[in-house]
Amino acid sequence: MLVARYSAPAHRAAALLGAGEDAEDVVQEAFVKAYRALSRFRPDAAFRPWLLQIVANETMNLHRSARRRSGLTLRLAGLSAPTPPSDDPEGEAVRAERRRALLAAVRDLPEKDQQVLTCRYFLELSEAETATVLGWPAGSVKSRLSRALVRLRAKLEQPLGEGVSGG
Amino acid sequence: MAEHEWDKSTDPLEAELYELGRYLDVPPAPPVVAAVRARLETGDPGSARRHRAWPQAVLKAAAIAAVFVAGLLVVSPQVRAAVADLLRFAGIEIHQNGEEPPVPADSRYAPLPGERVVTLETARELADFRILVPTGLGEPDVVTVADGEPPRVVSLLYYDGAAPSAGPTPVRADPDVRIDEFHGTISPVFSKYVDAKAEPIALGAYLAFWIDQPHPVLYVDRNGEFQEETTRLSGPSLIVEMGGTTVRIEADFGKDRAIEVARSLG
Repeated sequence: MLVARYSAPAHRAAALLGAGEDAEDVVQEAFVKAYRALSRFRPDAAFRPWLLQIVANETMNLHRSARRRSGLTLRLAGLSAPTPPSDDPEGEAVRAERRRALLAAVRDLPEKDQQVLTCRYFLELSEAETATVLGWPAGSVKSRLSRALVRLRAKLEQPLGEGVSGG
Repeated sequence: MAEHEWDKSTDPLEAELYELGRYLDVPPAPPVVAAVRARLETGDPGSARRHRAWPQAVLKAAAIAAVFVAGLLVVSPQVRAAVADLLRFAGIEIHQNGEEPPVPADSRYAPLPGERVVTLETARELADFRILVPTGLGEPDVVTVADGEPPRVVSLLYYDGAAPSAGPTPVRADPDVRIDEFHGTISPVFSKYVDAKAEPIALGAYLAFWIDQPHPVLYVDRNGEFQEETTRLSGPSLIVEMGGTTVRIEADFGKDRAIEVARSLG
């Protein structure tokens, strides 16, 4: 079945977009809908973003129906260690710390900023796919994305000690 | 997928964000295969929730698929870039946009291990899975079984002109239609290397995949060993799993005809 290959990326997408502990149900529901909608799948389209769009729609439905998803984007996200282990442990420690700081900064942004960054960079959807997945007008993805990057840069340039631990 | 977008980005922050995405992980997904299948079969949206008594084959399938897909999420960007997209469907691995095995020059045909000609009745007796015959094409001209007892693959071959004379020796002439059938389990039986998409198609209640270009295919034995001498070029093919049997229809007719043939399987 199709399901086994795509379920982990679909689960990841649902979790990153804020499905929380409902991620499993969201993915199952999305797969059932995708299977039933296969006749509408355009052969010239790519399958993965089409499926992720259904997953994202289901994740957003959680929010609309029960407000269970509000503010949960990226909450389940954690960082994994590099595989295979680096032969440059000091350099890797520096890079790992940078990733932690970057993720913390992203999670400190407004919800919509996190959503657009998650779609574009973490799920690697195109601008058009992101607009469809999030249900936004086409132009607003670009503008929201550039404002999000501006805010993110400002956060990362905060001098250490202003609410950021470490030294 | 073409090269990653981060390769084209000139903004270091964007490149960092793409890379961060490769390191992002979430709590692992439980096996969803059985739950989705159960929901589709019963039509009840809630009944399959929290289902725990999954059959062994499905758990194993999910475990293998999860291990492989988890690997795609966690490896370093350099390693990940080299790993092809892999789609596993009913015993066929479809590798996309990755490295292909070398295909011998004159190779529309290469025998499967232990391949021999039998009658359809004998094949039905020997196989431990149901053999489906397309009524749209009628009875096959030649039937072969391959790889062990009970045979792991049964093939139905159709020839437009006169069929080669039947006998115990392996068939060498290219059939016009080749239908390989095997148990639709998770351990791979064929491995295909496809440059473009494998197109999913709904055939009634069944999910099928259509690959419209010639592509390398080789046989994978029951120990998971790639049988390189079976590497050849497959014509366009349609893959469908019906009731535990995977059917691979290979012919030069187009998608619509392939779908008709698949619909007539019984």
